[in-house]
Amino acid sequence: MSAHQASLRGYRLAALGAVILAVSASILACAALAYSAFERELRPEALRKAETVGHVVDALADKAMRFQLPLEKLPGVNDLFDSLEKQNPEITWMAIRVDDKPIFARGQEAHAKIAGGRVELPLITMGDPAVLEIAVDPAWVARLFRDMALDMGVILLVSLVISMELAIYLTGAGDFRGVAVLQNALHAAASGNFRGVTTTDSARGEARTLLAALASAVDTLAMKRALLAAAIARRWPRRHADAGERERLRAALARLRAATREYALPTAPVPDVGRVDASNVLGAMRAPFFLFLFSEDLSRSFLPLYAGSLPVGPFAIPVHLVVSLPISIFMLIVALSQPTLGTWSERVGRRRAFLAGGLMGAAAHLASAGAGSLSELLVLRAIAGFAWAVAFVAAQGFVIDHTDRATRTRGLATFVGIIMAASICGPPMGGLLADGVGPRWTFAIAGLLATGATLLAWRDLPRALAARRAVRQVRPRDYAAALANPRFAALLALAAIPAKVIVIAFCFYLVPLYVAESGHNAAMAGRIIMLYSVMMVLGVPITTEVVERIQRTRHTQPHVAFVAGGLVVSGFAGLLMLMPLGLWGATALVFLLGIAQAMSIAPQSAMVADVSAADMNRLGESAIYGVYRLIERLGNAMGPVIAAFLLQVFGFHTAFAAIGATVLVCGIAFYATFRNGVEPAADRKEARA
Amino acid sequence: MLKETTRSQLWLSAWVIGFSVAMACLLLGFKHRAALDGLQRARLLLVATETREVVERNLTFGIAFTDIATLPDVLASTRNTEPLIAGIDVVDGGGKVIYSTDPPRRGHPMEMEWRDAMHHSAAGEPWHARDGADAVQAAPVRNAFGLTLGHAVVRYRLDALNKASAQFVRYLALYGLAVAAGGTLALFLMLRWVQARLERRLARLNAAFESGVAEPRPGSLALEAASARARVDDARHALEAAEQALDAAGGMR
Repeated sequence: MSAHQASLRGYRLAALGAVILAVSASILACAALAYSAFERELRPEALRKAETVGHVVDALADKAMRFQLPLEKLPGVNDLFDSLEKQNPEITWMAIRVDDKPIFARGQEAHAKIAGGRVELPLITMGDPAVLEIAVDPAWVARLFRDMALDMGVILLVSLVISMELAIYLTGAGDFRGVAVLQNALHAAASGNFRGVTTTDSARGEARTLLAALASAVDTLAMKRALLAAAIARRWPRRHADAGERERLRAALARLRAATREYALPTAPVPDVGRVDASNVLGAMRAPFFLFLFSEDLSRSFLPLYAGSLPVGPFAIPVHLVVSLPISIFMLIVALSQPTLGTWSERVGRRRAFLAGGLMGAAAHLASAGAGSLSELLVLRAIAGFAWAVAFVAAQGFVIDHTDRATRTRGLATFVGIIMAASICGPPMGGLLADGVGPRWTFAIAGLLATGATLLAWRDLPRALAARRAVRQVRPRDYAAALANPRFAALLALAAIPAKVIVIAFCFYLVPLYVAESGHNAAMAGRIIMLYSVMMVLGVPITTEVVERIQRTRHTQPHVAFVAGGLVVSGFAGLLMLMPLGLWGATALVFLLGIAQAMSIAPQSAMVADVSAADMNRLGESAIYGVYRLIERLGNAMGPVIAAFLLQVFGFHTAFAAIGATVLVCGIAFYATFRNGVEPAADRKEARA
Repeated sequence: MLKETTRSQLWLSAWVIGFSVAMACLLLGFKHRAALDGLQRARLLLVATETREVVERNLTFGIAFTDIATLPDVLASTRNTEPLIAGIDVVDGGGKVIYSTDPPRRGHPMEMEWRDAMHHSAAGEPWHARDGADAVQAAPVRNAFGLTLGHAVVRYRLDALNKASAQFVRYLALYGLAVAAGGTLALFLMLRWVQARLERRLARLNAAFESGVAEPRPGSLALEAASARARVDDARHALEAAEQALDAAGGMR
């Protein structure tokens, strides 16, 4: 980051700090208000439960009385206390007192001394009167709130991500966008590149004044230049009539040329970057696309469980396969439909394509809320998958339409950023909602969000875009031609497919089921899955930076090591589940998987161009990447089915470990295949030349 | 134009705080209901387990499942210990009521939703089901060989739970609105503060651009603004020099 970019960064951070502070304070205030209500309402209920527990002990004392057994000689009382305390974690003290002396006691006596925190029941005994005393943990409500702290943290994180999106939507990247344009304009002007000066309507206040002053100064220069050029042009025919005139014209023209060259004098007024520019490349598409992805991601943490709860009908399908099918169908439809959707979306226009995807998605989510059987859900998930592919391709096309070679990488990075932001927010929020209102209502909310995305797109997306050069559609023979390249086939078989299989099998299928099996709710599954996206968001820029630095400083291509390393780490993540770590194991697995994928995803994509350089010249870049994406996404569809089979036959730990071990082996094989390096596409072209 | 900034900052503050407060309140509302529900269910499970133990004790004495003569009295006295309980049934494996605190229910099948829940429950595990404002908490009854013969089913109403939840939601909604309003105002004021500081900084930049003079701190924006002004002036002078060269005798005719 250059100094001129960094100088105003503090204000951006201050605004972010203000949002964090205000959101945290608001959440804490709500928690504090709720705390007193919880104490007021739940404690009496806990005491009533303690009383019921007391009746169980009373029944035992009654039995002793019937068998004329002195209470102190009654066997199994301590065991009973232990088991009751275990089953009722809010009870922290149980005692039977005779003459105020405890003859049986378990737990922390101090809790019994707190006023209003205990119940007493008289017991009928053979001898002296006895009293059963049960105390409720005074910190029980506080413990409930501590358990909620993670959920609150998730809400804070999601609020921050959403506030960033809102800020961009409400203010078109905010006032900071105006400032960013100003910074770039000043930098361009200061370095004497007046053609690089731009302005924006979204600038406000002093930024607007300064941009206007700068633009006016540059426009004056442009006008002056134009007037001078026109004057020279007018007098140019007279140059032969008068030698002095010729000299004057030649001198003026030379000076004009020199000034135009030195200051890159513009020939047109300073352009407005508009709503869509390189710094905000998704522009009007950003908010609808985020909302649409968010609506789809809501169901990620509970979909397998929801599928498992639906009647299967007359089909005798193993239960684990049943719960994997909705994910696999979704992924399969996405994989198969994307190659043909690109040209279709270009033909009908990005706006209409996105609207169609949004409407289909909304309808599929709303209908999923009322699905009565697995087969219904499968059909609806297929429609949702198709809708997702349509919206995805339309949004991707929108980025391509609004970027050129110089800004495409940044545009696509923003595009990926949106996908990641939605995947951070969706699963934990979906989990929270599913726990609270149930999966059906969560699907209904997803439907409403997708409808909102469609309405936003309808309102904001430009109606017509300039026609672009049609992208060549991938044909079946392209697949054969591309796959005939053994190195490309090896890249797909050893890296692309295993990487996708393990991500989808673990994050979409096995982890939600494992978390449920461990006795935790969908919110916990959502939180754990969210870790994957968080690690990706944090890790991808770091990996890119490190790869570029290695390329710069050592003049080597470290892609192979990164891809192989990512696969090996993914494999170890799966093997980790062989250790008895319970939920921590699943958390560590997702964490490692996020790091592993962040390591390998970008170098792997970059390698496609390198291993298929010759085919790219013949078939075109889009055809090769089309084949790569399709095969890779078929890996997405295979993941849950493979995991379901392994789970059905071997159980959770073996399923995790088997997939992990396979990916580990693929990583090693990949390294062995490509260890001699990959000739970069550019080098190859040069060599051929 | 600054009014527009104010409006967008206000909207941003309202949306962000509104979303966080709404989600926090939603979570707290769910948690409150879940905690209350959990306490009630655990309490009633104790009752169901106690009933189950009475039946199983009789079975160990060789009494047939359908012939436990003392059970109706036990059920009636157990019901009276808990005000939450609407009734207690002991049903067979098919869901037919064998014993009940409500005599008209005897011999009839249990409600369909509850039978479904019973059939879908894991073998030998307690189960719970609800149907509108009615709910049941049940524990399976097993014979000496571990075979499930029936279920001890405690029926209860969800009115108290619903009422307590609704009351809590109202309380939270009211105070949540106040928190959201306060949070929105606080965030708005903080954003305004950041904005004001930024405006002051930009005003200095503006002055540097207008005057072309700035402290020579390398890389500073003020220096860039001053440099931009200097470059504009240089370019203007270069164009003027070209004009002068052209105008040396004839002017820009």
